[in-house]
Amino acid sequence: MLDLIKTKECKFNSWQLLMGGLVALILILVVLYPLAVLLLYSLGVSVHSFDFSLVKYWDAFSDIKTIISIKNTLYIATGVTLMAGLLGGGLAWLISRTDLPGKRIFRVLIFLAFVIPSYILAVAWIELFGRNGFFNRIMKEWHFIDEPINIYSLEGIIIIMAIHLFPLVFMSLSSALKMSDISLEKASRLAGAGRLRTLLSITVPLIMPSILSIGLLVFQQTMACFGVAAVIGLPSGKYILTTRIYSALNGLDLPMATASSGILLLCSGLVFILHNISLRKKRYIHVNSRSQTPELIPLGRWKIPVVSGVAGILTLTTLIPLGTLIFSSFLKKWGMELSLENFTLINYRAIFMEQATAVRAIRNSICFGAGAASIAAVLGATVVFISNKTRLKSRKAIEFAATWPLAVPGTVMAVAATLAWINPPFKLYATPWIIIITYVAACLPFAVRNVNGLMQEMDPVLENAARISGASRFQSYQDITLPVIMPGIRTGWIMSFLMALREIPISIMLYSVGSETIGVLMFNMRSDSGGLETISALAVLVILLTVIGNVLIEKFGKSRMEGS
Amino acid sequence: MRKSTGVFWSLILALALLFSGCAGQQAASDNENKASENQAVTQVYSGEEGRITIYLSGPEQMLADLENAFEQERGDVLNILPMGCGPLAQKVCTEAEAGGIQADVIWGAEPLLYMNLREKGLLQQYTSPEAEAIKPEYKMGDNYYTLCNARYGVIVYNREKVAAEEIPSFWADLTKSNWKGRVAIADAGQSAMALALTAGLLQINDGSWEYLQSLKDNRVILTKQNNQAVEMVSTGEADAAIVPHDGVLRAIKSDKKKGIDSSLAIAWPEEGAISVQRPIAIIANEARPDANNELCQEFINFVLAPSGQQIAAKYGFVSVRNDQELPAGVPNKVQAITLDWENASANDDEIRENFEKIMTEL
Repeated sequence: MLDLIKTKECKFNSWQLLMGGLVALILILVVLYPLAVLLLYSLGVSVHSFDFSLVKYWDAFSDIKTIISIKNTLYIATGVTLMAGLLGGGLAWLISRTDLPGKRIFRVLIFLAFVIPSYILAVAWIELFGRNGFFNRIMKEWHFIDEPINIYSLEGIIIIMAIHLFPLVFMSLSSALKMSDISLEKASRLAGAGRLRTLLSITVPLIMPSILSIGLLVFQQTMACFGVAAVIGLPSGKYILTTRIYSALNGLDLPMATASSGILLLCSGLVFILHNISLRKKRYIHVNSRSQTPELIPLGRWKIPVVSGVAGILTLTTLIPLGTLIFSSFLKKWGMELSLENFTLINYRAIFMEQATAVRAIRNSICFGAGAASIAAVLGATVVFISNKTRLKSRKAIEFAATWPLAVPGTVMAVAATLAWINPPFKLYATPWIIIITYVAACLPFAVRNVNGLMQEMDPVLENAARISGASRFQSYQDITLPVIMPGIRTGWIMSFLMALREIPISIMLYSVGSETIGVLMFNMRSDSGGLETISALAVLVILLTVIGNVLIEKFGKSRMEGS
Repeated sequence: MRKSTGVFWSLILALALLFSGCAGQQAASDNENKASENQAVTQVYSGEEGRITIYLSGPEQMLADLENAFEQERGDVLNILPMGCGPLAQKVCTEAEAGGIQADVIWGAEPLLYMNLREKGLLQQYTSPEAEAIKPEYKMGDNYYTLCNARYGVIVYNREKVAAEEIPSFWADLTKSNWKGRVAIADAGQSAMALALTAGLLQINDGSWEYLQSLKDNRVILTKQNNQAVEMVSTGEADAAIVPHDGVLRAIKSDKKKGIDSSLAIAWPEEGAISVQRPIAIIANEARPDANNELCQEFINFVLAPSGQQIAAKYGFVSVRNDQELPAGVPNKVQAITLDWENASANDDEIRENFEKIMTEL
């Protein structure tokens, strides 16, 4: 694909062409081909039949339940994007631009908020605010309320998804703020603008591409969420689009399921187009000026309220759920009182002793996850490069195609992979490769979205300067572009790895003997009346692995940066 | 430039068609030979000789016990893939659509899936010698599939939250006002087992949807899976739920093992528990080696034989045989309603539709 770039100066030597071709081929095979198969299937074109029709789409749209579920889905996605954006963005600004004390601890807490599986978050939330939760019990005891408050609502989904996803916004905007030019903010202050004005008219516009890029990720991710919606929305009959997809799958109506996924993709695509329109004709510059450290804004008399506010929020989003999770993993039963009598290691023993495949599953998940995350990181950076630095006509379409997996639930990805890879001569089905390939597709959006904003904020002047100074195109990419987008690549990698460690639907549908994953383990334990406490133990292990992965990637990333 | 864009997208389209086309042609020519309307009876055997692949659902420990017992006699011949009822149905259905079911034997879920597969001609007939001992009410499917265990749809309640005089003795009790907001049930759209239970509740109420409407009016709590409904009762989020009995028995047993007095108990409704069976079947595949066909049959015989049935009974499943005792925890006097599967299968879409229509909040 790179050979299609039509700039005069651009002369690729043959191995670069080969590289470009290879990446393009992988992209087509891993992401575009399953997407094409899925969409064709929803239109009635498959292995068995060729009767093109839009009838399934018509059926779906003429059902009032679909319309309601689309409405609910959009409502949730908008709410989560706004809430996660405010929370994550606000924290990112506070931590990188003010003299807030305790930044290191806050950063760790925010990261930990992200590694808690959303399912556990929802269950912990129910334990706090559910019908039989602490909050309602206390309120009832004190006669503040007669009826327990109802958390089973769309708003409940919004709150939990926002808590789950705001760390994404935080991580992405933190790296954008770190990379953005301080001197412009300084100039604004010198010219007499207030701090608020500087924030609103300099800082925010500068990182707008990152804000929109991560906002889009959150929006699409929320649209495809099902776990939380099933625990919080379904109980009171609140259906969203993914609920409809599962219902169709359960009714063995595969065409309807794929058509519903098509609708989900359609909504997602529309948002993507809106996102691109909002970026059009604007030029975002940011000069990488690492020598400058930002002048930290003193919080002054606001210090104490702000610190306690942040601490309070993070207690709710991280400490309580994480505490519940860790304590429960050592309890005989979820929700028991904390006492020495109830303490047990039986849940951890159950994982390693009773599950014959546990060790293999954990090893597989680490291998598949790390492998897929690394491939996705390289592919993602290339997609972003194509989408921003070339003039290829369909470059935006390629970017969307590379991020489509974000917009569909894992089960549908598994269906697409099955349809795509079951027939010889390209039979990957029932081998570990199909899981890896599907993971790559699922990870790619994280890689793309985290790098995209950074790439758009980068001033082309930098690269041009390198070229004028005699650097080859490749060298300028390596020495100028890569360091700028490196934080994004790293964030993308860790998000991908985490996704792979805790996803369930892809591996349960695609695993074979020998390629069991943590997801398979978790699913079988969950449907085994193994109880929440055993699942907590497994979740604690996953969190430990992620933290180790993060430390490693940070070390690796740093030594690379220093080396270059 | 426009040209390059066009080339790019048509390349992808061509690739997609090519991949699915290859297999399509193959399927088409096969169909000509056989002159049958079966959509995808696989002609290619993807397994290896002397080893069969089984997709199944059920408690993992039980599956491990069964695998060990079988392999002790026959050696290492089974590829067992446990996956839960929902994924089992989805996987089998997707594989059938994509080019052919890869399993040799499937076991678990409920009869609706098997009736659907049989209709498409994807199952292979087999009469097990053990089938003679099966109770008459459990004989169905003309040996395309065989029912091998039963689960009873019952009411589970939380002993700490439900007073003795409140314990429901009829299904109808759950629609009374004292149960408002306290009852959970899995969504018939999300779980096929729940769909079967709904069909049972309809049958008890002579096909009337009024019962489910009253449940909704009583603010029934929906869950995605049956075990989540049990979980809700066990954590006190709900006080009672309509679920299959076996999961409750296992949860109580697991609590006991940890030295905890379980809060869960079962109420057996007097109108009758709803019996939902787990079938087993061989997937039709003409290319399967004879040795593997024999293995499939042996496995089915093993599961239906008294020893196999006793292993399943240890995990709460009711035997379909006439010479077996009920599992511990199931009272002898229990009445079970046999579902009219023909009716349920003919109307499954309608049941799902109506259920969701009643339960959807605007």
